[in-house]
Amino acid sequence: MLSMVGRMPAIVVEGLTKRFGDFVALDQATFSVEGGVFFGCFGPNGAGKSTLLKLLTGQLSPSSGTAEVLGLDPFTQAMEIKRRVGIVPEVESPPSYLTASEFLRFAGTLHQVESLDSKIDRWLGFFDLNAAEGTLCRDLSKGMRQKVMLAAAFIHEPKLLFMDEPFINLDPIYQRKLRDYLFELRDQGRTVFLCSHILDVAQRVVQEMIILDHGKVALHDTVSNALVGGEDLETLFLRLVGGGNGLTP
Amino acid sequence: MVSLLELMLREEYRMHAKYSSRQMFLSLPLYIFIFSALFTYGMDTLMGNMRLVDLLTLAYAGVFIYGVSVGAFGFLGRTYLERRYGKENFLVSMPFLLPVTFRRMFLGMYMRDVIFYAALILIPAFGGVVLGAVLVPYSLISVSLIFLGLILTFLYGMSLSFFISVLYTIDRRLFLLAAGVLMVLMAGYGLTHSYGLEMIVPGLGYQLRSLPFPPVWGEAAGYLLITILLAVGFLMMALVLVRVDQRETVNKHKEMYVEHMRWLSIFHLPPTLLAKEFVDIRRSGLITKMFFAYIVPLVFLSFTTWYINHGLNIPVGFNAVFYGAMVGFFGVLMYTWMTNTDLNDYYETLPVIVPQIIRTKLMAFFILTTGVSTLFVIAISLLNSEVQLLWLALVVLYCTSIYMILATAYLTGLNANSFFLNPTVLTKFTVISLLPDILLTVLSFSLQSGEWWAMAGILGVCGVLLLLSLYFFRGIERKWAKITFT
Repeated sequence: MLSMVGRMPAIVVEGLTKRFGDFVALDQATFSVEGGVFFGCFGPNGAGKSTLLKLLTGQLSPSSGTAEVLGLDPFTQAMEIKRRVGIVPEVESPPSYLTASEFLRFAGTLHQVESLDSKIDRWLGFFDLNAAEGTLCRDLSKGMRQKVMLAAAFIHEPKLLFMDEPFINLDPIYQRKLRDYLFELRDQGRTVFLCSHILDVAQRVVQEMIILDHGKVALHDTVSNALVGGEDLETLFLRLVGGGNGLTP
Repeated sequence: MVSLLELMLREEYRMHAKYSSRQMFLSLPLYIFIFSALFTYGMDTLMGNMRLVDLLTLAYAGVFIYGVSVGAFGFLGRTYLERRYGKENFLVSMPFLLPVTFRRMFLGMYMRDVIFYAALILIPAFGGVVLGAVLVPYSLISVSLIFLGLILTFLYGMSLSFFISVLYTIDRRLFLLAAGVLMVLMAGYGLTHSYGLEMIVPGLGYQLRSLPFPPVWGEAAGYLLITILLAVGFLMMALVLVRVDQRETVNKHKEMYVEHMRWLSIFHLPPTLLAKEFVDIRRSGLITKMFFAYIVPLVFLSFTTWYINHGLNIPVGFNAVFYGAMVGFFGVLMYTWMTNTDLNDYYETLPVIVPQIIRTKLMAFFILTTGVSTLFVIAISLLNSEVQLLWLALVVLYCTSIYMILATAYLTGLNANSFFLNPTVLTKFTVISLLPDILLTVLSFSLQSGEWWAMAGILGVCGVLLLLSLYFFRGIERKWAKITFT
């Protein structure tokens, strides 16, 4: 495994703010993510996780503040970033009228992937999408559509992955399979930025994290530091942001 | 039902208002009002040689087609009902979760669209025409009678379309049968003159026997009653038959994308995005929609003038050059369908930008429609014995098509449906489309008398349209490069 010390940051965020009218979705977020780190972004519903991910991948422009992803500005160089990263969005929405293998070919061609046929076969096999051969994405179940989106994000083997709730809709078998693959990525020194509510799975893979609450960064630390004393991630999460819901441990 | 309707109207309003500010969206009726008033006030000048019978025939045909396009709930049903529309859910999907029937929901949709489009467009238009009529002055009774016929024709178009689209969800054969009957009716009156256009659009029968034409009140009332009965009848039948496609079978599809990529590469066309566009078009049933949204209106319009010319023996000045210009306008509808085929959310995860997808859709549009529209203009020239005008009609066809579609793409990007309800966009579109259209229509009418300046004027307009097309094409990159797909 690569050392985490002395690496170039993959993501740098400074004072990043996003307002939708009067509503502040993200408020002065500041943190950085070193290259090769498995980074978790947690928070209750509406805390700003998906907004942050969209800002970092150029899908939204900020109200103020700056960000850098792989040394690029997501607001002016979104295309360059999308060529280098993989994105698993919050909503599983592959194109309705393509089959899984057609979408992987489409995504792979846009990413200029070499030996595309073998890579398509690999990911169709990995997610057992061969069983849905000839079925349009719109006729697939939510779980199968999620697998298609995951495969499309992995097909060009990006150095940095942005994943918004990747475990949602997956059955326990594929949650486990995905988690094992993410372990592999972590061991290969790839950078992963993961937004999730499934804290027990996340705790096992994440090395460093932020917890967002009402758009603000409530905690930024390594998991090993934050969970000192045997506390688990769920307990820490509830302690930090669950008070308002009567769920303080 | 009232509270459901109120919620549906609120939902519809919020959905459209998100594309502009609330103030902008609510100013749309005012815009329609002012535009209608100005148009009515200046109608004599604007219409040139075009007579009232031509104008009203076009108005009835246009309103009927508009009603047909608004009422296709059955086609929309599956997208609306069975799949989340990106991140958005609609009230109409609630019967899956709450104790309310789909029949009630569809009735709600029908009522919602009648109220929504009447309040937004039809009533303000009527108000504007009344104001214009007072200023000119025209007879307010005539204006009111015209409006009555138009609004009932709109409702009839909606109901007919709703019914036919419901048949589509039940059995494709039933749908083809109904569509076939409609086509046979159209072809029958156009080619044999054995019955009138009133067989298809009875509202026109009412209009031609009502003010401002010499009235035959008994017959006019009969046609009006038939229009009402057909509107209510088709709506009732659609509501009785409507059902949600439960998708008990999932069809398997042959791999098509690679085949299209290969085929496009042969012609040195950019294969990756364009192949996907063609696969979308084929599998989404857009070819069927294209048939109804593009080919049927063209055939309908041709037969209408044919009938007025030969059936009613009223000489009408429409010629092949006029039709060439009109095809460009029907192309806008087709482009709107193309931008509405599927959601674009997934593009956010891929290294593409909005202008690339717009350009791809434009390319697909021209590949799909150029042959059909060329054949149509050739056929019209032959039918009207105007072979000498064919070359000019084709020049006008290509120039207006390119101009109109590029202007639409520049103004609305990938959200043509929604942006057309944005008053700013609509104002620009009106100016962009109406001025050249009026010029070409007036000049094409003057071609009949063999005026040389009419031909020179048409060629001049075409030249300007091509220059503007170039501006729009370059503007697509400038305007949409920073806009996201969601």
